Formats: sequence, C-alpha cells, structure tokens
Amino acid sequence: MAILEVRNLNIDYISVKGVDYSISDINFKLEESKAIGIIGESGCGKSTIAKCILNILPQNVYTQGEVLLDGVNILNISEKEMENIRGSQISMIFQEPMQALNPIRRIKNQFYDLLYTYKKINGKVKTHNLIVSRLEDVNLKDIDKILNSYPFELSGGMAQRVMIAMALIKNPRVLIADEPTSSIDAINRKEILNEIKNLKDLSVVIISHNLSEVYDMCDEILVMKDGVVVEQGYTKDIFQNPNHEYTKLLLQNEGISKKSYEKRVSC
Amino acid sequence: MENSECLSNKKEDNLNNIKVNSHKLAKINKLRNQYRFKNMLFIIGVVLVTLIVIICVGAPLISPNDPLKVDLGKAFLNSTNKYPLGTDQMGRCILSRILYGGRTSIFIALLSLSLTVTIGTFIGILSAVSPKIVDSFFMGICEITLAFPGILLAIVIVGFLGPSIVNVMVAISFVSWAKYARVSRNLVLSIRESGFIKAAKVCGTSNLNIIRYHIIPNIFSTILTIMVTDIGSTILRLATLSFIGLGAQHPTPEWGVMINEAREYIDYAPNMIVYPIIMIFLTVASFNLIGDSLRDRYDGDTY
Amino acid sequence: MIKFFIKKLRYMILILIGVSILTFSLGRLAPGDPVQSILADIDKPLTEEVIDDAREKMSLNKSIPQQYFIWLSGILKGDFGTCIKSGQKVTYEISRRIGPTIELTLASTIIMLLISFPLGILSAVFKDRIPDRIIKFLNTVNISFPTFCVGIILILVLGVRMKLFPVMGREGLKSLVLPSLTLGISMSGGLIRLIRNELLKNMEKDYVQTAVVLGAKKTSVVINNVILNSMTAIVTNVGLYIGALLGGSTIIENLFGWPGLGNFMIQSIYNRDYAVIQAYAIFMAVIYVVINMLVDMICYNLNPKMKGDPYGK
Repeated sequence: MAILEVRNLNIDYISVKGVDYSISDINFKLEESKAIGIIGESGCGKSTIAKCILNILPQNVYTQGEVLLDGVNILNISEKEMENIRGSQISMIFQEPMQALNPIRRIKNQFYDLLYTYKKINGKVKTHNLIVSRLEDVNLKDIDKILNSYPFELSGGMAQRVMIAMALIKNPRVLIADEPTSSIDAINRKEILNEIKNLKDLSVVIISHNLSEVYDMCDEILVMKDGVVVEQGYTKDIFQNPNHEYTKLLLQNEGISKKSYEKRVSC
Repeated sequence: MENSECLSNKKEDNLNNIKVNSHKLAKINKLRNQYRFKNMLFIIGVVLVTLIVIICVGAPLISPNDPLKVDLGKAFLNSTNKYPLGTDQMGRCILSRILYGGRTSIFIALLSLSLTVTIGTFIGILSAVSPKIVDSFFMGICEITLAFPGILLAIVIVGFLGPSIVNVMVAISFVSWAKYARVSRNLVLSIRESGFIKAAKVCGTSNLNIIRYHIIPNIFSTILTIMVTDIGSTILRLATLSFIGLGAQHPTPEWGVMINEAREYIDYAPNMIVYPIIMIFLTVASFNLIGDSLRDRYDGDTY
Repeated sequence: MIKFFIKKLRYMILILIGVSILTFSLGRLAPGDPVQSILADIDKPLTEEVIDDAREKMSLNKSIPQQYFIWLSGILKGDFGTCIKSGQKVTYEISRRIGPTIELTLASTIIMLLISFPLGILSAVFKDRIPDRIIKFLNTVNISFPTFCVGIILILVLGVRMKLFPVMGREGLKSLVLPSLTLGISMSGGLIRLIRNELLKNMEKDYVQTAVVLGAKKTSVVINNVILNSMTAIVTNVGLYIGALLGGSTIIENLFGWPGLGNFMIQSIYNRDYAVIQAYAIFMAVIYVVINMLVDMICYNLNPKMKGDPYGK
C-alpha cells in the first residue's frame, strides 16, 4: 500500500472577492522508498500542495479532498495529532536554508527544540550523540563547531545539510523537498542530491523546476501549470514521449530532446 | 468514510457538491463579514466625528446658556431643564461649556496639527531636494527632536514661554514637526528616482512645478493618513497641557481646563468632571477609529 | 563591542547638547527680565548702578555664546542656580524630590511591562479570536483617554467610592498604588499594540514555519522563535515608552499631589522660576539618555551578530 496518497485534492485561496486562485484535482500515490517529482514554473501551486500535506496553510484557504497517510486522512485531524505527525512521519526541507533557520539561535539549540520528547526520555548525552551522528550522515565535518555556531556563520551548502539532518532526525518516512537545491551552488547541489538519494527507507516528494534534478531522482512525475496537473506518469515515459504541449515546452527549454535522452540512457 | 467514496465521483453526486460548496461559501462569507465589520467601524468613526464637529461648531446655536455667565446662586446643580448637565462651581452651564470647549479643543488641535504638518512637510521636501550636507543636518535635528519624550519637551517649552493657548500651539508644533519631516523626506527621495519624475525633468518641467504637480499629490495621501491618526493625540496633548494650567486659561471653556477646575469638587460634584472626560473620550476615540481604518487600508507604509 | 557603544554615546551626547542649547535659548526667550525678577524683593532703590551690578554678576552683558558656555560650565559643576521661591540652591531642591519621582517611574514601568507583555503576546498568539478582540477593544478605549483621565477614573472608583487607596500625597506604600497604576495602565496602550504587531510580523517569517513543519511543540515555537526574535525591536521601543512615561509622570505627580520633580517643576512654572525648569529639562534628558543606554545594552546582548564571536565559547 502506498505510504502517502493524495486523492482529489482541491485547494482554493479565498478572499473577500471569492476564490482568488485554485489548485484542482491533484492525485498521486507515493510508495515506499520511491520518489515523486512535481515540476512546473513558479507560482503554479507546487509549494501549496506541500504545505497542504503538512497542514500549514494560512486561514484564508479552503481544502477539499484527502491526504492519506497509511490510509488515514490527515486533513481533518486535530492540531495536536498533526504535531505528532510533522517531523516524525512526514518532514519537509525548504528552498532557502538561511531563511529557514532562526538567525539568533545556535544550531544545537534548534535541534534540541525538535527533540524535546526524545531528550526527556533519553537524556542530554544520548540526544547530543544522535544529533552528531545525523550530522555525520550528511557528510558534515567539524560538527562541534557547527553545533555551536549561528546560521549566518554557515555556508549555503552546510546550512542545507543541517536542514536535511534536522528534517530527518526523527526518522520520518516521507520527506518533502521544496526546491532543495535552488539556492545552492552546482557542486554542493550534486552532493546533496546524492545524499538524499542514498537515504534508504525514505519516500521523497521533490518539488522543483530543475528538470535534470527531477529526472535523476524521481520514479514518477507530475507536471503542473496554473494549478492543474497537465501530465502525470513515469519519468521515463514523460521525458521520452511528452504528450501535453506544456511538457514539451518545458523539456525543450531545458534542452532535453529525444536525442540527449538517448545519449544519457546509453551512458 | 462515506464522504471519501462520494467525493471521488464528483460528476455524479450533486448533493455532496452543494454541501462542499456551501462550506466554501461559508468561509468566504466569514471573510466578508470581517471586512464589513471593519467598514462599519470606519463609518461609525466618521458619523461620530461629524456629529461632534457639527455640535461644537454650532455651539452658539445649540447651547442652552452662555458658557461664561457666572451665577453663584445656582452653583453645583444637577441636571435640570435649564441646565441639562448641571452647573459647575460658578454656576455656569456645564453643557454649554462642553460645547464651546469642544470648539476650542478641536479648532486649536486642528490648527496646531496643520501648522505641524505644513512646517514638517516643507522642511522634509526641502531636505530631500537639498545637497547631502543640508539633508543630514535637518535629519539630525529631526532625530534629536524625535528621540526626546514629546510631552516633556512641550511642558518645558510652554513653561518658558508662559501659559497661553498660542504658546501651547507653538510647543506642540515644535515637538511634532519632525515626524512629518522625516516621512515626507523619505517619500520624496523614493519618488524622485522613479520614472515619471525623470520623464518630467526630461520634458523640461521646472523644479518648482515638479514639486507642485508631481511630488505633492503623491505624498498627499500618506501624509493625510498620518495626519488623521494624529488628530486624536493632538487633542489629548492639548487637554493634558490645559489640565495642568499651561494651555487655555480660565475662564475659556476647554475640556482640560474644565477637568482641572473640577478636581477640587470631585467627590462633591462628580458630574463636573465626568462629562468633559466622556466628551474627550468620544472625540478622540472616533478620530482614532477613522485613523485606524485609514491605516489598515493604506497598509501602514512608512509609519 | 566598544565601537557600538562609542557610536551610541556620541548620539546621546548630541541629544544632551541639543537639549542644553534648547533650554538655554528658551531661558533667554522667556518673557520678563531676569534681573528685575531677582531684584524685585530688594528694598534698595533700583538705580542704574544696582541694575548694572546685577547684570555683571549674572554675566548678562556678555555675548550670547559666551553666556551659554558660562551657563554650561556652571551646570557641569552642578550649579543650576537658585530657586527663586525658596532661596535654596536648585540642586538641593531637586535632590530632595528626585527620590519620589524615581520611585514612581520605577513602579509604573514595572506595572506597564507586567500588563503589556502578557496581553500583547496573548493578542498575537490568538489573533482574531476572542482574546485578541477583547484586548484590542480595551486597548482602543485605553488610548482614547488622556493619562490624567485614567487617573481621575481610578481616583473616583478606587479612591472615593471604594476608599481603598489614598488619592493624595505620599505616605506609605498604599499611596504609590493609584499613581503608578494610572501611569502603567495608560502607557501600556501603545506598547501592547507594538508588541502585538512585532510578534505578528515575526510569525510570518520562514524559520517559524520550519520549526512547525519539523515538529517542534507549539509553545516552544512561539517562545523561542517568535518572541525571542521580536525582542530586539520591542526592547528598543520600550526605551521610548519609558521616556513617555517620564513625561507623563509630570502630569500624574501634579494630579496626585506626589512630591516629586514633576510637581515641583509645574509649581516653578507658575512661579516663573526658570532656573528650575532648565535644571528639570537637563535632569530628565540625562535620565532618559541613561535609560536608553541600558536598553541598547540589552538589545546588544540579544543579537548575536553584534556580539561577533564566531564559534561560541
């Protein structure tokens, strides 16, 4: 059974004038250890879907449909129950790691905030060791220094790795990555993608407008435009035989033609 | 559980559609109600202010008695037919004094504020179009003036110049001009670099005309918003200074002065002190309502 | 760190200089000839000689800038002149009265902070829900009353009707209650709004969302991410509010007959005792500057970027 399933999801941004913007009819299934990509230009609603899954949308939004985690609809559960799901079952990493970390708190304190319950049960030392091991997992060196520093003292790549470690520290089963490498330089980008790829037992939803990234990582893809899914299917199928005009346009603009695809396959 | 099966076949289940849509509509309506409530507050503010202004301006026509007429035999009366709100320690009609007092308070407050805004905006615009040294000098003075607590400075100024209404106006203007100077200077600087000013310059419009026809209309609405939000606090300042005897002098009826005179008789004749307080509250509150709505609408840009 | 303080110090000294120039100029602009008022009580006939002699003594025949520096040097030595009414040195009169004023200011500040922070935080956390609406309503009412009216209402209700607290003078702790409550409540109006707005601004930030998404507890998010981050902006403004409180204390002292500096100052205005008014302005400026320095020090400690030590201790 799919870990995460989204059925007939409709999201409406409402205002005094009525409905401002709609995202309609989103359906997908995410299986264990698989990855799904959502691609499309900025503003087409990709991040909104992510926020909807984690139930952090603002007040002026109306949702319909279901988001099933292990078969249970998590759209209507209480806030307390949702708190238990966020971070422990489903987690998320953001585009700008520097903005996503609190600038006036040390990294270690930000970790301790998340591990409140764990610390209560297992004590400070074990918690510290857990954090250290996680940071080692994402290939960070000089971990003590990093833990004691403030976010503005880290580089972009380091910060994003810290974010990944934070997102995964409670061993969630689903990770939503909202444009995880948009603000990272090319070298770090590759490394980070590999690290995410190598994480076993993790199902990933990658939101991106970088097609080669999505191609590398994802088994299935949703192509979105203006709040609607225009095409959906297995990565290979979409890249090889795009049906919708928009998909074709996207692929063209990224310079991915049939020929270059075949070249990749042969390598 | 039933719902999830029905929703998957949207086309067929109209009843559920209507239910779902009514929830959405409910949410939209909730937003609309909030919006209407805010509009209502604004309207209440405007209505109250208009009422108060009309009453006070029309004081000579409406008030039942002469506010200055002393009649010691009739001191400390409660509400009667002739004296609807009673009389004070000198037998003067409280209602008439309140109406005339409103005239004084609101008129003086508006006058001070206009003075403040004119001086402040003038200096602000001047500062923005001057060379950097002049600009820094003016902004430095602004900062120093703004840094110091306003009412203290006003009391000190009036203390030196002598208690009188004119001096209070001078003091209030001196204390408040800096805010407008800073705001207008920042606005002008941000407009100056924008396209239409450059276009006007290219077309050969003189500097004076640029200021008159392009700069002033654009900063007008912001300055007006800030001015309206300040009317309330100006009235309060005026009343406060009058209360300690530094503003309007007796026998001029003014709310602050009335409260000051009523202090001695607070347990004996509380109506002397309560009515002016209510008037101040109503006036300032309604101006504040208007100011708040304006600020919400124009999103509190600069201030 | 030192650079930061030198910059602030320069700023503060500028304010003090500005205030001193202003006070001096106002003193000169004041109506009434200072010589005449000093000599008014003397029995001797006011011949040219006597007047000139007095002018010489008061250095009134020197140029204005010179007079300013003479006055300034006197002040720096602690000589503010003589109080006309009592004949004592101004410094003496002030020292007698500064205690009660500091008492009142301290008590009012504590009350103001105790009211504003919890209410402001509640108002922001429960935005648009019932607590927020109630607090916003009460706040609108509060800022529509002048400070002295709040005082009068408290006097009427707690002093006259219920006879709980004394309404005049300074005898024992009970008499501190009404004046400090008045100032505290009145000044909290603007501060509550400010705190609420700052907190709301910070709630929009990305890192708050991150903390929520990664599963931090809600209270922890609010305290560690929203409140802590807003503190710099809030504390800076608290300094300004304490300044406003200082100004308001003048009026409240007058209302409650509190024997402090403010009340003395107002009496001196009636007596045209300009030396006292000048001294008052300078003293208040100094107190204000000191408070702001303290506030700046606190802000500095809250902001790690300024502290500048990279990898912790």
